[in-house]
Amino acid sequence: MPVHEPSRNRTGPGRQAATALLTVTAPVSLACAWTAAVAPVQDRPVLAAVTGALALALCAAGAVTAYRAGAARGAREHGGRTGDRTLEQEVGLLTDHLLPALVEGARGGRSLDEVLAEQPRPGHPALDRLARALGTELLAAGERAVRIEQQVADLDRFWLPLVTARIREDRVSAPERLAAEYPEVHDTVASLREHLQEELVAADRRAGTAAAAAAVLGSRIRSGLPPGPDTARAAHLADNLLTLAEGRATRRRTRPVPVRDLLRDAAHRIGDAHRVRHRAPDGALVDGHAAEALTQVLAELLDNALRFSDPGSEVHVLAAEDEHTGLTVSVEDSGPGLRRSEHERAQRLLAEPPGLASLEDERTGLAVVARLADRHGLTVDLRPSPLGGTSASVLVPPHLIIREHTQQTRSRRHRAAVPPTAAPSPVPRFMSPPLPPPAPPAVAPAAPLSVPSAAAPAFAPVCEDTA
Amino acid sequence: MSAAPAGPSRPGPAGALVFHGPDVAGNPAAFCTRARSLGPVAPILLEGDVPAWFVTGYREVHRVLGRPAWFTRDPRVWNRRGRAGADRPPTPHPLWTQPPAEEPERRRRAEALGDALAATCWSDLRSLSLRVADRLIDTLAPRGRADLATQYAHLVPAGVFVRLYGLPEGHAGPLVREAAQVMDGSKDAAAAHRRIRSLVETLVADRRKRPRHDVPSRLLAHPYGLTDPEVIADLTSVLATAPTATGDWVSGTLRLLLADRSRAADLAAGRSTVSQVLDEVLWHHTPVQNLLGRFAVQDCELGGRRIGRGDLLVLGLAAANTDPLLAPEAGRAHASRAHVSFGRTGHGCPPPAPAMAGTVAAAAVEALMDRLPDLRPAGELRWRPSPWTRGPGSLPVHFTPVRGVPVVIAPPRT
Repeated sequence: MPVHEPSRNRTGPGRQAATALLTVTAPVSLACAWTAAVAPVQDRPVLAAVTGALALALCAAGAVTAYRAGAARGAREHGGRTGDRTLEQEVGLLTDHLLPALVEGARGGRSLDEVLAEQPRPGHPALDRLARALGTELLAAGERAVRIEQQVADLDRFWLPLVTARIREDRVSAPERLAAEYPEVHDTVASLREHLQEELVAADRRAGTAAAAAAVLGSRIRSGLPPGPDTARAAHLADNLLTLAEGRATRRRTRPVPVRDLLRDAAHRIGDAHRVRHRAPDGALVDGHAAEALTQVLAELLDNALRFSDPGSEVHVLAAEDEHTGLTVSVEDSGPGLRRSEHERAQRLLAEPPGLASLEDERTGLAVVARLADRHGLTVDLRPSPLGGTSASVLVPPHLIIREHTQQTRSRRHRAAVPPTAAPSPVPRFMSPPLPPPAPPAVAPAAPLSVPSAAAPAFAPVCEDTA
Repeated sequence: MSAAPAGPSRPGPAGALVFHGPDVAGNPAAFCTRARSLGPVAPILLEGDVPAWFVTGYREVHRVLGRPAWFTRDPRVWNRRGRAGADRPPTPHPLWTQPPAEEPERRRRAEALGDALAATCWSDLRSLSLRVADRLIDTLAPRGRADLATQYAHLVPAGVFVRLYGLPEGHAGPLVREAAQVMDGSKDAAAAHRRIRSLVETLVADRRKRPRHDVPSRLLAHPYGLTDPEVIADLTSVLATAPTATGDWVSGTLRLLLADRSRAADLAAGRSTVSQVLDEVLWHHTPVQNLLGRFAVQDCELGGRRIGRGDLLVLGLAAANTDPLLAPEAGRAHASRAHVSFGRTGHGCPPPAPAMAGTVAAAAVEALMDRLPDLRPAGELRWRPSPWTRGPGSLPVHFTPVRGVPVVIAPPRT
């Protein structure tokens, strides 16, 4: 530490005054003598008196000034000296050592006492107070900064994904639920969080509104089309729009449908039915709920197969039933087949079925297939066909297949026997996860189910516990 | 209407029709025909021999609804006020709740209420309704049988309103029962209305202190600066009427689909849409059949009758919708929504309430048709006995049980 050595050869104020007095008296008395000597004789007594008085006053003033200056310096030196250091040294200590240590400590989130204990402290009480005050402020500011950094990091890593998930679960109740879950954060972070959430909700709402409006339009178009072969394709496209827009299916079957009828229906929805050759096992029916979805999926796969193969070629649809795996329907064409990138795209879509608001491009066919398959537990696979083109296969799980002669679902008999790899799990992916718990965080218990007498309140308390 | 005097034993003046008892509630269509034979405006006797005019003509109903300065809702002008028993209202709530606001005030309050309701946008309301419907279906699906009136149709709108009001979910069930009593004008109607009102009072007091994201908080915070009693009155009137009317609309639609296989088949084949069927129900089987509570401000003439000052009018909404003078295809025309089931624009059910009711009802019907497509009637349909509303009291059905995890459309993965 470059503190300069204090000089020890200073004199006291008394000695300084004496020196000054002597120093001043000598020239002054000389000057007086000389003045008296050169003056005319008759003026000498007066002049001597005047110059003498002046000289005396001058010498006294010089001595007093010297004394004062000496005393003041002494006082200053005495006051600034604390322990072994001067005031400058103390300030240097504060600036060069203590402050950097406090800044460092603030970054590291250490306590004031901890930091101060490691550093030489200013001896001067005022400086020490200054150091403490600075340290307190610095550490508090540092702590705040660390906290905000942490809060922003949490928002990024943990809360944003949760907000997205909550909005996807239920956009309407998401803000209330989240408000109850959010931790207290700095105002700036809270406002950032709020804006982000508002934007996310608004974006989800826009997408949802667009999709729901498209679904309404789809069903109106669908209902306005007269039945018949000329409108079958338009109706199929309207159904596709409805599926992508997450509309509830308008077309539905109430009874099991024979697989053969279903294949024929699918072919007729596309238009080029004469190019389709199909074969189906006798006596196999598809559960009414899944039948419409399967028909739509097959129609879409047929449409692809017909469009991507030679107009003169045939497309083969084969349905085969197996007790354990369920019903497999394959659609085989002799077209050029899928390129690697197309195959990858297909796999991606099938794994993560998009909605109307999350399509990759304008090709919607496979997206429709993916959504329907996802919802109804069908497994769709695309691979090269022995015929040279593509083979698309749809696996319908056994619990959706009904034997005509028994009219009974096979699920109960076979579910236990199904090898885990052979078929999708009994609970297909499309089924929702268990519903989230009711939204409001701390609500009153459910209301009584009977209408109480007039005296008793009919409803449970409205408000959250105010206690 | 349990205390109805035995049939038309006490004939009213000048051949007035007796407007209570099983005649009206049991077969409203036949009653309408009889009333129509007396002209578009017919004299009737309400329970307790209270005289009134029954307006059955479409044009006449339109006229009454469109001229609030001539035909007011304010019961203070009623010329028989005070003569009817105060504690036993013979009629549903308009007569014995607080007087409705005067005109500029009424419009202002209707606007504020409309704004508070409209803050929930269409797609939010739709997804909320589908969610409520799906959760109810989740519980019904494995059973294979259900009473759609009591276990579904009314619980969907009630559940939605409970959520919009920020009430705990458990309130939906009691709300259905209380609101139905109010709307049906049953003996307990006044007490039920008081209970709904006190619920709303607690709610408003709480939201005044701690606003949340719900209709009461939004209405309290509305720039029009409504007072607490105004907010309480308006919120109560919505809560007491909307869930039952919407529930009856849903159950009436489900009844139509169950009773008429061709309509159900059209819907299942995509040849018609749910909203078309819902519109048809409003034309032919409207939930609010008869609307009580318009009073003539001065002597006038309506439908060929001299209406005295202070006379009470009952608007036959169902009768007006099926007025034979209307073009016979009116109810079938898919695009037409000119029925008077919601009153008349500006003077009836305030916007956006009719559109909201339509969104909730469509979601309820769509979700059910989608999840349980093979509904079959099981047992006899029972109408709730009320001359004012028409809704199935029970709507028992069978269907193939759907086991396992509920089928709810997963949201798109974005």
